[in-house]
Amino acid sequence: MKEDYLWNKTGSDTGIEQLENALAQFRFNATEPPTLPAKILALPEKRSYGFFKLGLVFAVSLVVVGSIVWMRFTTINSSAGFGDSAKQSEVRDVPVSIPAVDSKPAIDSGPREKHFVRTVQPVRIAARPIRIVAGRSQIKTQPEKLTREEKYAYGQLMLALAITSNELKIVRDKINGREERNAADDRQK
Amino acid sequence: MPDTEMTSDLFLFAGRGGEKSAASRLVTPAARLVERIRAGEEEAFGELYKVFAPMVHGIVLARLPRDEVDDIVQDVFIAAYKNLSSLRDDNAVGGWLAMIARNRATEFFRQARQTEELIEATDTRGDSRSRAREILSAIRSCPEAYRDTLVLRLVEGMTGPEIAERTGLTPESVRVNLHRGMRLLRQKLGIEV
Repeated sequence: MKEDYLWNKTGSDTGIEQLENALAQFRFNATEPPTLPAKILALPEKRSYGFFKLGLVFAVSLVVVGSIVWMRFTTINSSAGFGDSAKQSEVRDVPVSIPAVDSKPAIDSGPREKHFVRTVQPVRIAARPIRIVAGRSQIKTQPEKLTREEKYAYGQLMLALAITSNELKIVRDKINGREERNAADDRQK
Repeated sequence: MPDTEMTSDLFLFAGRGGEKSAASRLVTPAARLVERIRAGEEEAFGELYKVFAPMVHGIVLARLPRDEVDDIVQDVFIAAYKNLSSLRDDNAVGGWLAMIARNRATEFFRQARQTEELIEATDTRGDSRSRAREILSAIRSCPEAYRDTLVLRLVEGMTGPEIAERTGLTPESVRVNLHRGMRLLRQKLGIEV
């Protein structure tokens, strides 16, 4: 009973009641709440950074995807030069002179047959026009506006490109030829 | 009723105890008041003051002379309003206010001890007041966990469940503190149990 009164004021307890009566003078007297200064009345709202984070993620992913697409696009452009020249490129004829190729005579003899000496005469290759196959990314130069040295450098550059192009063309033809043979063999099987 | 070990951390926020954790997930009326205060309603702050001022008053009275209590209570609520953004769980606003009140009282006590000795103003108005001071002094000499609970019960007139609700303690803790605190107080006052 006494504990009930102490806990929730159920029943009675003389001793506790006496203590309560004695201490009641110290009890809180209801007063007005403190006056709040005007400058602290506006509380900063709890910001939600959810949408901001979402937007940031979206922007970053957009940049990444755009970079990847741009890099692929430039890679495709730079590699589309020598392979598809016949369909997409522009042809220009530039007269150049190619230096002569020297070779030594070869001697071959068998024990019972007649000897034939094969000699390889130096062949002077006349200047002939070489097709320069340019890709999509053409260098937009205007040779007539270049200086003499620049024109010479330009010519040398074109020559190097032409030689490289021919070599690659040869390699490509060999690869295509080999692939055709393999395909024919597969069909026969 | 099993006796539990009294520890100084009994005066912690709500969340300890199984049944309290379930209740803390619900939005209490006090939490709604806090939401309204955050929204800028001054009236909600007044309502919060009315609900928790007796508790804050009791906690401060358990530590400081009566003459200083009213000012400290006002300071506690102004500090609480300024730092409302630091309150993580709106349901635990009572325990949070209790913590601010204790810290404020401790800080004031330290500052006051450096400058002047804290003396209760003597009053010559009869024996009743002196008896009251004697009882209050005896309560203040009790351990902190008993002290706050006894003041809230005997001075502020709050019941055990009300003390638990306002301070954020579990009802079991409050019950133990009341029981042991009352026994100790009676010993100090020389009152038979």
